[in-house]
Parts: sequence; C-alpha cells; structure tokens
Amino acid sequence: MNARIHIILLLLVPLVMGCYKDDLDVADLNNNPFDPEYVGPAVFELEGTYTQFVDLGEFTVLYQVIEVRVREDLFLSSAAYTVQLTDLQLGMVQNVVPDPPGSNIWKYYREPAPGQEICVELRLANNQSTAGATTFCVTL
Amino acid sequence: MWMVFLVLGPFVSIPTSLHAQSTGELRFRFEPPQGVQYVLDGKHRMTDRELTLLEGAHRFTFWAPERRMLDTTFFVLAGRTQEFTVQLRYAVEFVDHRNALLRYERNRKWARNLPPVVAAGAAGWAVVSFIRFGDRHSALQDLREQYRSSADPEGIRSLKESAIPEAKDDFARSRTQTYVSTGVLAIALGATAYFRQHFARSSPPEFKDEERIRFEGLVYHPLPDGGTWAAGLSILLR
Repeated sequence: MNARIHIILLLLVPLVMGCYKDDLDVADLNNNPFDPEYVGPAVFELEGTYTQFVDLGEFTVLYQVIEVRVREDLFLSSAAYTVQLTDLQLGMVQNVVPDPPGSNIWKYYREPAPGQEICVELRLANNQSTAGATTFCVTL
Repeated sequence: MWMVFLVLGPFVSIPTSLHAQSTGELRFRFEPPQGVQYVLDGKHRMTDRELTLLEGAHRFTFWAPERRMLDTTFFVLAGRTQEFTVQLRYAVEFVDHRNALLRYERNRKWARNLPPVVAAGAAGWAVVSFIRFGDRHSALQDLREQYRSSADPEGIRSLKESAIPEAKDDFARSRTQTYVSTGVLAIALGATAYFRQHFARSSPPEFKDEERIRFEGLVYHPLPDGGTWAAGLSILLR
C-alpha cells in the first residue's frame, strides 16, 4: 500500500511540474506602449496642424499648433504619463500638455512656419525616462 | 554370549588393573569453563574434571563448541594430584563465521537504515525544492504582471534586461533541483523497498562446527549397559 502511494506521489510530481512552465519570453514582451522596444499599433495619432491665436493678457500671439492624440486604449493598464516632444527643426525637447487637461489630446505650440515641413518626435514619458519615439512631419 | 564377552572383556578388566597398578589424579580447569569434552586415549569420551588414571602417559583430545580441538598428552604420576589449565582457542571456522555474521549484521543495519534516512532527507529536499520551484514560477508571473502594469520605460528596460532573465535562471535552477531531488527520492525509496525485501528473504550465515564433526568422527561412547564405537563421515558437497 505504501509502495503504491509512493509511486503515485512520484508520478504526480512531473505532472504537477508540467503545470509550472516558463512561458515568459522576453522577446515576446513588447506590447506595452511604455516599453522602449514597443511593437504594435501606433500610440500617437496626428490630429492635424493649424494656427491659433493665444491670448496672453496684454496681447495675443499666433501659434502653429500640432495636435496629437494618445491611444490610451493600447495601454495594458491605466497609467499616468506625460508626452515628451522633440522639435527636429529647432532641436528643442519639451514636455507638452494635454488640452483639455486630463484628456488624451496633446498640443504643441510653436512659431508658425507656413509652407515649411515641421517634424516632431513624440515619446511617452514617466519618471524622467522615455518610451519609443513616433515621428510626424506636418506642413502648415 | 561369547560375543558379549569379547566386546566387554577388556573394559570389565580395567578395575582389576587399576588395583594392581599405581594411579595418579588429574584435575582440569577449562577455558571455556562450560561445554568442554575430551576423548581419553582415543577411546573414552568424557566431561569429568577430575579423574584417576594409571601411572604413565595418557593422550587427551579436548574440544568445546566453537573451539579448536587440542591434542595433548599428560603423564600421570603415581600417588600425586596434578592440576592443569586447558585453554581451547576459537576454531578458525568459528572466527570466520563470527566475522561473516558481524559483516552480515553491519550490512543489514546499514542497508535497512541508510536508504530510509536518505529517502527522508531527499523527501525534505524535494518538498523544499518543489515549494521553491513554485515560488520561482510565481515570481515569473509577477514579473509578467509588472511588465503589463508598468508605465515606467526605464523600469521596463530594467525588467527585460536583468530582472526577468535572472528570474528565468532561478526558475530553471529550481526546476533542475526539483528533478534531481525527486530522482534521489525515487532511488532512495526503491533502495528502501529492495533492501527490505532482500533482508526479509535472506537469513544470517549459519555456523557449521567442523571441529565437532572431526571430534565426533571416531570416538567411543560409553553407555549404561556397555559401549559402542561411532564412526562419522563428512562429505563436502560443494
């Protein structure tokens, strides 16, 4: 009887061990938009570019606005984040702001350049580190 | 009737001779103290520790169970009592048997006790390894969940470059350890079962007192109504 129990227990071990598989492959981990090696649908969608007068109190200023949408539906879990933009013409890096606040629409205000192609590089950012870049080029 | 006289005649005449000749007494002290027998003058098998004999040389063959025979001659002095200590050494066969028995008992003890102890240790090791194996698997699942929930690009890079590979290595090591410990457990359980059955079937070595056979090979057995000659024949069937 004891021998049978021992044999059954010993046979159970490989069966139970079979349940514990190492199915975590680093190469397959690339569907998080915050992953610098993210592979998947584009996180940023270009909404367009246009000019807009901005009231600064004493005077108003005309800006060229580049508007992008962040596809938060691609996030694997809800997360707070910022968007870092690099203006490839000016070589400036800055964080842009959502407009309206709390939305997934992000706007970049710059000096208008009619007829000139403006290229920007966008990245999701958090804790002073950035994810993969998406580049858009627009012409006013 | 004539046959009876011919057989018993020489022994019936012994007392007459004793009276006619001078006698002396022998006293024996034996080692071992019990079980010593001897054959006197190749004829009389006796156990007495004191005996009176005719003056002159008498041949004794001493023997005791497990001991070697001792052939010797004592010279009996007339009118005197002589004391002798007879020490019989262990027979070679008995020493061999005792060594074989000790070996058997030692092997039996180790074979019966060691595998269960190893099995118990291996079982503990296997349980610990299996629990650790499960923990490592959970750690991998946690890292997968961390990857899913993380919004920190640098944290994700660190996960993929170090934390996950290290966790995978730990997982592989714990899996190997679990396999090895389970294998050792299986072998130890098998050995336990094997040796139990083996020693249940086997029996300790038996002692065959070859010296007894030799001693009893050709002696005179005195009986109440006379005596008889006994001849022994030993055939080694090996």
